Amino acid sequence: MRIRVLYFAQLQEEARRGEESIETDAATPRDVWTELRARYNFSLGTHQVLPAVDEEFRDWDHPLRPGSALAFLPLPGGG
Amino acid sequence: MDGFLLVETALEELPPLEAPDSCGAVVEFRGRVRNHNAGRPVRALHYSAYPGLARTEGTRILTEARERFSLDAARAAHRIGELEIGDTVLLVQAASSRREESFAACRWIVDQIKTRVPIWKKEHYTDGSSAWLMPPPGDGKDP
Repeated sequence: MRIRVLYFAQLQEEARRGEESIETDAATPRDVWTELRARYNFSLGTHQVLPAVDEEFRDWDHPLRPGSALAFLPLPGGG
Repeated sequence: MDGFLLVETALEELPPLEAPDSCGAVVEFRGRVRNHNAGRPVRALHYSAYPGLARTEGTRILTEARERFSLDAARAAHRIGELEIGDTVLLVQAASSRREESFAACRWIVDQIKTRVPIWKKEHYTDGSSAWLMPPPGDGKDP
């Protein structure tokens, strides 16, 4: 299926893009992360990243659907 | 004006918080860009956000604050973009009939924003280097 992946902060710099559309067999954010971490050599681990699907925080095993917008968010550091 | 705002201009330009006449205590927190962090001199900060989710989560925090505290009004605004030393980056205002409630609510809202709202800061140091900041263990304890 095809999904949209969004990157923020240092993940955006490491992937050298803010978002992309990918074709994947991955069923969950965890599976997508595993694929993309190997591709982009992300410096953060899953304990330092929060997944969001369609603009809502979700857990790493949330089921993805075709067309989902999956965002990988470093732990918030604002304020 | 009530609610959570992501703002690209100076927070000092926001209109005053509107609070009803029953309100006797407005507590305001202003987080500023400081010139140092972890022993390193800081030149400037860049803040970025996931805007849609940041607004949703910020609004959720203010809604929860109204459930936890007896607030007459509450507002929070966070800057995004390039900020200089001394700029106000976070403004939180909590208004209620009594000061204890306003102080407690303001502090709670600040702590929640810092740990839950998807906003990130990149520090630019005076030596030309830069780094994204991750929350330290026991986050939310920073000013």
